[in-house]
Amino acid sequence: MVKKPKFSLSRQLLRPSWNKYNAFNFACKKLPNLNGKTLFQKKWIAKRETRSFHGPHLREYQFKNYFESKLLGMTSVNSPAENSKIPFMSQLYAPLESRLDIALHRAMFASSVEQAHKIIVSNKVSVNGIREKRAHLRLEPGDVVTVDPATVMRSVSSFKPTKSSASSAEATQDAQDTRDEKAVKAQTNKAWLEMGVEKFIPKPFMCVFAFIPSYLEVCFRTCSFVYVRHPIARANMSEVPSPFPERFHALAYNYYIRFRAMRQSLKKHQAKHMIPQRIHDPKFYRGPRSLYRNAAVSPSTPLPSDF
Amino acid sequence: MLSVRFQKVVKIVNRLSSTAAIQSNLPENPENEFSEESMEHSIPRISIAYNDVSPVHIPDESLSPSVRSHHLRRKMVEWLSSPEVKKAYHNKSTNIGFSRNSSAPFPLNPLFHPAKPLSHLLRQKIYEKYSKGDSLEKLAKEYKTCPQRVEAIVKLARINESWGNNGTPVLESYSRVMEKMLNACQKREEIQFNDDNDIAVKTTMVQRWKVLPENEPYTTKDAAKELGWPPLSELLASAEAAVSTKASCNDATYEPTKLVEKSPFMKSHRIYRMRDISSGDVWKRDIDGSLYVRRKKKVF
Repeated sequence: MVKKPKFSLSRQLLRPSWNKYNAFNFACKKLPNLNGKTLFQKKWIAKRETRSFHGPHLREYQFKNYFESKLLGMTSVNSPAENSKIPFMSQLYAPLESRLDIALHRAMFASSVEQAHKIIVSNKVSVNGIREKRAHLRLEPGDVVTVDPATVMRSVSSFKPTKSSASSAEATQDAQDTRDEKAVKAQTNKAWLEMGVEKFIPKPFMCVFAFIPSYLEVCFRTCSFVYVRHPIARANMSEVPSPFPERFHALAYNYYIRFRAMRQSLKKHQAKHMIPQRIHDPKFYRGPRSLYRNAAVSPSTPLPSDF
Repeated sequence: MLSVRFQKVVKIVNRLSSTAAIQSNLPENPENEFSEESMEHSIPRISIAYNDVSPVHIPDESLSPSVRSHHLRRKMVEWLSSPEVKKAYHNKSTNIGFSRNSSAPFPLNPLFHPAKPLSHLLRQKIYEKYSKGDSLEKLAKEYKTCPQRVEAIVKLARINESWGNNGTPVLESYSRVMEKMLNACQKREEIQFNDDNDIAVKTTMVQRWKVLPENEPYTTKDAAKELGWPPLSELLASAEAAVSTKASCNDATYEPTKLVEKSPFMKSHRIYRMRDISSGDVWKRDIDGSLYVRRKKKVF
């Protein structure tokens, strides 16, 4: 069966990618007209549009296992403005953002989610110091993810590195002495690293898609990032990156809520994540494991600071 | 006073020139040396949305037959050859997006406006303060974020340090370009993460009901008692106390540090600190093996 093209100009579906066809679709995008459609048609269109951007590489049954009917929001202590609303429905795709391949793309280390998937599967990524080959891994708050820098350069730069005179001389010698694949690979990696250190040229259209979501802390010098917390909805602010307004997420939520009885893994996951946020204070809450892991960095009781 | 007036004049001039630039599709304004604020305002927002882009007519002969026949492909080729899109294709600049009016990355979703990320300089400052002894909570209050983010910053700074110690090359050009593209915060005043006052709201899976007669008074304190949850004022007070007790440790309650013994055979890469619960003394075994004590002043 012939698959539908991913970056079709006629279908105009938005994808998590920096591809130029995708950029053109973003540039031309107008929200689909839902007037005169039945309720099911509205839900279906909303689901089609939003799912094409959020986890398009997932099958429907896989996404239904990720779906959580309980959407979390956060309000601040400072008195909120009168007309502020918390966009709860934009939290529909929040559980997906903790997936390792999607988080890698959000941290701008891969030009698309598929490329992030390939990087992880080819053993270039380590989570908390341990090599991780599972792209479906759900990141916990506090996890540190490091990517091999040469791989990042490969996925994020415009051009291949031009060989300098010194390295090309070495290359010809090496090629003559041994036709070792490892030596050639090591040299190309070195060339990519040199490009990252000295002269980096970003991929086309990267600047248009350039943002770092608030729940990630990214260090470009060491090609690593920390998943600080799960994304959460705030007053007049949604933290899940999405090109669609909240009403489209609301319709998609209404499409998926019918299938809640089918999900077996959901109850386990919900029991784990019952409470939204926890302040770093041991007296504050005793109970199930929260969004924030126990911070092992500072002791709970204060010590004299010059000690 | 004169310099302030000068800056204001400069800003107005830049705004005028920036609007002119958008209308005539000129490249960015020439650099302005007067102030950093006017620099930011002087970079005009370029939009590569299809309706905002300057139209380019390409004659039929120069197009390939497949592009000529398909109207959408033709549209795309024309879009790609417009000056704004060519800029986006090759550019590292900050102010290019899909809309002229908003700075949100996706104009159809104005509620998604992510905060500016931190630059490497700021992260180093925070890490230095942490290594001098400031607690996570204190730094979080100072830099208007949550302590979990400060912890993340500390972890990343440690990775950076270990790379420097091992001699692995750090990707400096990449980080410089990315920080410029993302418009990273260089000063503490620019930080706007909006997660500094996060307080958990306990959510029960089942709604709790309590039947009351109409005139019975029921306050938030009663509700808090019912849920087994401290009231908001207490939470705020405890959050502030967590920050202030650190400072109070410095003065009268503790005596100055004393070196107990120097034992170089007890060298390790970790610092060990212990608190004697009965007396309140704090002991510390340093990296070079020396043992210090800070005794609590006895109140008779």
